[in-house]
Order: sequence, then structure tokens, then C-alpha cells
Amino acid sequence: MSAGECRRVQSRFEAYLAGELTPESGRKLEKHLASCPLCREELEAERLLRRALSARAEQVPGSEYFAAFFPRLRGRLSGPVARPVPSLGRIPRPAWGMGLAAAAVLALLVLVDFSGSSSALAPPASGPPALSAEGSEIAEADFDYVLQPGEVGAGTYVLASAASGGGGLNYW
Amino acid sequence: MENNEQNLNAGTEGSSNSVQEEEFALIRAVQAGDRDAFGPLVNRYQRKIYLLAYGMTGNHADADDLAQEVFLKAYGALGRFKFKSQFYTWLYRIAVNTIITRRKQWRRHRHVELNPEWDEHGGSPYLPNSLKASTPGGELGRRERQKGLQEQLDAALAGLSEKHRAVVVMYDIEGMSHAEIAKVLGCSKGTARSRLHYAHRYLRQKLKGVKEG
Repeated sequence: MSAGECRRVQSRFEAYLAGELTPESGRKLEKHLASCPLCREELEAERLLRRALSARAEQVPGSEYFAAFFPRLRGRLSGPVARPVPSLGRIPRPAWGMGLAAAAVLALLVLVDFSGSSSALAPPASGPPALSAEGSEIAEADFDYVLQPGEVGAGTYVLASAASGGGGLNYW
Repeated sequence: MENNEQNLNAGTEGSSNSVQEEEFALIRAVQAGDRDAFGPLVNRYQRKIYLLAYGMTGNHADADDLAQEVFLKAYGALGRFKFKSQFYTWLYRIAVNTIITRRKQWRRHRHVELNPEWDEHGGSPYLPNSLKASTPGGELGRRERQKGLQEQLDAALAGLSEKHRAVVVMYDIEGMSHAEIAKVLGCSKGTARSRLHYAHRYLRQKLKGVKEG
């Protein structure tokens, strides 16, 4: 029994146990198992693992817990839901508007420069954010759920538009 | 465990579409300001999100806290839902990211408890006593926790990266298909399959010699 063959067989365990292999592939795998104690042991370990993981699905609270779940949550839905942002194409953008925005940014930069340090632009305090009972911190900080670099879903990042006002990366 | 090849929403395409239409109608109602319209969406997925959080943390108190946080975040972000994806995919992605982010924060600041009073009483006040007793955070839970397969599984799962653990939980505990997992994680089906294979191989090695029962 070559190590390569054992690796190939073991890589098909998930599909085998899920019944996803073709009959021919299944027969080949079983033929290998019949003559390889190492792979039989691995398959038993895979079955044990699956049973142990499946048992997790039963370790949930009963219906009383879930009946109270939304009533608890509802009390924390304090802020208004983020409203859809119209696309830039539907917003009239007079030429002077762009100039006004540029002037505002310039004024802000000048203010920061003169004041030495601006609390408005200071980085957020480090450490975990405190969760208030009402969830207001979440409503403010994550109102517009923004993916952070390294979070899953990076493949579907879209750049936040200027209209969203965010500098991060948004869902879809 | 559910069938991994069935859609989370329904078994057939037709009923899946009607579920999606119903969910989209609820989302539009929430976006129009109807908070209670969020209730049916929560009721439909609360068990699955709780299970995802519990699978990722192995702790009922944390799962309770995280499940609430996931839905709070989803509610806050629902205004930006563009109706280009299924609600559950969108929700699961928020859930996975929230759980991973929170766990990283907890590891860095383990001394900072979000709900310190929960530890004193053995878990969230909303959890039934049977589950509080098994909460690892509480002394009661620690005393009563039995050595065995589940404990070994906890230890083995803890050795996986967050992304690998998420795949295992979604596939083996939630019963999601490779395709669904790939959608949630924004990766290819092959990547989801490969992560699952790697994770299973790792877990098998860790559980070798452990007896069931």
C-alpha cells in the first residue's frame, strides 16, 4: 500500500460517507480499505468525529429560550435601521457642490493643523468596545456593517461609494 | 444533522424562491421602519445562528451573547441589503465575521468579560439551568464537565484556525453544503472542500485513541 494511495483514499472519506462517490469510486475505495488497516482506522476515526460533531447539533437550548430570543432582542433595537443609500446617479450634483466639498475638506485640514491634535480625528481608543445594554454602541459603530481586512468574504468586497460616506469596504 | 446537499431554506427550488420572496418582503418592511417585521427573520434563523456560535465557542453563555449581537448587527445593516443575494448567506457572513472578530478580541482581553455577572451565576440568565451547568465559564460548569469525547473535541476544535473551524461547524453541525459554505465565506467550492478536508484530518489525528461514551 503506497502512502500516495492512502492519501488519495483518505481525501475521499468525506465524499464516501456523504454518499457522493460514484459506485465505481466507492467500490475502489472499499477494495483499498479491505487490504489497508491504516485507512480502516482512519475511516473509523472519521466516523467517530462525525458522530461527535453531530451531537453538537442537539446541544441547543429548548423552545422556551428561543421563544424569548426575539422579545429580548427587540428591546435592544434602539436605533433606526440604516436606510438604503440612493446611488450617485440619482443625486443631482451641481458643479458648485464639488467645490464646496473641497473647501470643507481644506478648512478641516487647516483646523487640525492649527489645533495640533484634533480629538475628532484621533484614532479610537484601543481595547474591546463596551457593549451597552441597549446595544447602542453596536448600532453606531456597525450601523453600516463594514468588512475589516482579513474578515471572511473578502472575495466579494466592493469599495464603499462616496455616497455611503464610508472609507471602508462594504457588503455587496 | 441535516442533509448537506439541501438548501438551508428549502429542499426544492420552487419553495426556496417563495421563501426568498417572503424574506425580501420582510426586509423591505424593516427598511420601511417596521421593527416587528424583523421578528420572523430572527425566528427563522435564530437556532442556526445560535448553533453556529455554540459550535465556534463551545460555550453556551458566549453563544447566547454572540447570537444576539449577530442579529443586532444584521438589523443595523439591513438598510444596505441590496436584494442581490439570499438573506441567509448575508446573515451567515455577518455571523461568521462577528464571531471570529469577537473571539479575537476575547483572546486579547480575556480578563475583560462582557457579562461578568454571568460567570458568577454559571451563565446567561436566559439560558436554561441544564445548559448553565455545562457553561465552561462557570465554576459549576467546570466541576461538572466530564472527561470524554466532547471535551476532547473541544480541545481539538480549539487547535483549528477560526476559518477552518467555521467550515467544520457549518458542514458537520449545521448541515450546510460545500456550495453554501463557499457563498458565505466568499471562496470557491473547492476551497471550502479543501478546508474541510484539512480540518477533518487534523481533528481525526487529535481524536485518535479517544473512546466514545
